[in-house]
Amino acid sequence: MRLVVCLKQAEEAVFVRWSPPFASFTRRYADPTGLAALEHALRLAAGAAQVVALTVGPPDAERVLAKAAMMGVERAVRVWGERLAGADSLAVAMVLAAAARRLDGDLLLLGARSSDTGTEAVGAAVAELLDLPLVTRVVGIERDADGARLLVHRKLPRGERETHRVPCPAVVTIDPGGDEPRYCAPGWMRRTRRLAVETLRPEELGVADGEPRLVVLEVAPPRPRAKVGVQVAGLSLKDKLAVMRGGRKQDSAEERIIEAPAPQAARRLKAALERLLAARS
Amino acid sequence: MAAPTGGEVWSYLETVEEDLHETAAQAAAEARRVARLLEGRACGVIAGTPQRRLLEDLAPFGLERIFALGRAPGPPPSVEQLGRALAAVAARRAPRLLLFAATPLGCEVAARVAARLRRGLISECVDFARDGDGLAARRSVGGGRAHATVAWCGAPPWVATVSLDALEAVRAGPGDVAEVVAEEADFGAARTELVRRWRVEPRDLDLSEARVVVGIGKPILQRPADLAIVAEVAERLGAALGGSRVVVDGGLLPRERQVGASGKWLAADVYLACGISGSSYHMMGVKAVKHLLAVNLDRGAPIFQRAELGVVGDLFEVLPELRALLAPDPAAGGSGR
Ligand SMILES: Cc1cc2nc3c(=O)[nH]c(=O)nc-3n(C[C@H](O)[C@H](O)[C@H](O)COP(=O)(O)OP(=O)(O)OC[C@H]3O[C@@H](n4cnc5c(N)ncnc54)[C@H](O)[C@@H]3O)c2cc1C
Repeated sequence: MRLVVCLKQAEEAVFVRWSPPFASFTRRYADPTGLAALEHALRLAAGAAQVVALTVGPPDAERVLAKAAMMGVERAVRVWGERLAGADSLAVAMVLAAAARRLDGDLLLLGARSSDTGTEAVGAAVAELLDLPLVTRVVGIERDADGARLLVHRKLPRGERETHRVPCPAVVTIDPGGDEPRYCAPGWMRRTRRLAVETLRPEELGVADGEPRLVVLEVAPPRPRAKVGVQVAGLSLKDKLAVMRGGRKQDSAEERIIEAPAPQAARRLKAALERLLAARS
Repeated sequence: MAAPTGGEVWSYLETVEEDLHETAAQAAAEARRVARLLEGRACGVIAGTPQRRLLEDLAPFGLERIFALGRAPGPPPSVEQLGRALAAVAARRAPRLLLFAATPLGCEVAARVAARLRRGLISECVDFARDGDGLAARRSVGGGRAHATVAWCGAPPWVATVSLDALEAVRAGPGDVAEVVAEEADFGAARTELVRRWRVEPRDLDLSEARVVVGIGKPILQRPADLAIVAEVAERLGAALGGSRVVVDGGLLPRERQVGASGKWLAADVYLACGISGSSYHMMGVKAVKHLLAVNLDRGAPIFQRAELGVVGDLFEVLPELRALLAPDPAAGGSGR
């Protein structure tokens, strides 16, 4: 069995100065959800199956692969071409799908949602492009009793869970809220020293993506959209600002903060809690 | 292919069993909003044949037509099947834009449809704007420090998921029931087999996932035995129990029960903070909480600035009273709430 894990070097703007001269400082780090996917792969492999780390990114992204080697990966592949800079999620998915096909894995694992761009689109697109079964937001993988298929547990909102039986080859995306990935596994020195990253270009994988589908017009400071549900017109400037920032009008302090004997205070709390708990579906 | 303006904007109307998902009305309102930008028609698309009641619920949101993807009776289609059917119908009908609320299901179907049709997908859009004859969307990038405005440049149908924070169920007026257009759709077969469904009890739920959370602060370190009272209040509310870092460092709660920047980030609807001052580190973790209630001795505690209801009082007096008022175990047996 061969497990292929897609890893990503995430990028976060730590500091941006919008007023000229424009300046920004970004931090690059291994996307934790990808590392969580690797942790699942290593546990499932338990030393008996090969785990391959795969990333799409510039040479600097090899730091992520080195991290993967520390955790226990023996083989690492990086794909990059200039056209992939700023590529949309579908373009990345096409490259990952082509590389995964080349690597001929039995199970492809990805983070469900990366922490920087977080589109939650790549895993599903890869499965669609490879025409393979997919289970998303996975929190546990085990081998089924028959040995050929997998039992995969997935997380739905509000504490709901599902278990699916999946034939291999298949694709799974791993939920970000799972266990901590291991820091490094025994033998990491040898592995990181020996790790020779195989590099490939999209063309070598037969990926010929045509015209771009999206174009970035502008990057600007974040601002929420104006909502019509709250009538901003009649509010004080302070409340307008509160609405724009948090989408909620601040009630006046008198009715909001109460000082009352404990039994009375508890009754107010109970009433508020009951109202709020009933309101949510 | 498409006229410079006009065309149809479709919103996927998510359903749970036979009912509308809570985002369906918002998605419908969004279709209307974008359709006005494009001077086009707002439409919905739904799996199965919608009941009259459901169409009436949607009427105020201004959809002109709803495409109903016909399917054989039986278990609801998997997301894979949904993506297949939707992609086929979208390819045939060629709407300009296909919108999804960014729910787990919405994100997955959107990606599947975009991949099948090889069309541009913009995820977690916050807002839309006209870009010449086309359309652009604004989304968060760089870990939230910036917004990028991105335009579709390929052929329609374009695909987008809309951030749940941005969505709003704006009513267009009384409005008529949308015209239903039945569409033949091939859902194909599912390839994963659902073995079982279960749920995690509220108290065992990860803090980041819990919908109701009770948080306890430093004062509990003085009276550790009273943690049982707090835990019981949480239990009776069907809430998960969390605490500030001081409480975790004090050994009263395990690390994974810490709320805040260096702990868990809540996504709860309701957070009841007891004896928590509201330090900036703590507040970072409760940013996404919808309704915050607080009990604190100190009227000047920062937590009250964010609280929807604040009780100035001693938690060791208020919580026992609250416990007595709450019926034991409302969520016992997992009532599906
Ligand atoms: C790098 C870093 C990361 C951190 N990360 C986190 C984090 O993730 N999460 C976190 O919580 N903290 C974090 N902290 C710690 C944070 O700065 C605060 O120290 C901590 O949140 C304070 O916890 P508290 O509110 O329980 O205690 P305090 O700030 O001491 O507040 C106790 C409150 O209880 C009230 N009170 C006292 N007695 C009673 C009573 N009988 N009834 C009612 N109210 C009463 C007081 O008025 C006071 O407001 C971090 C700190 C650092 C430096």
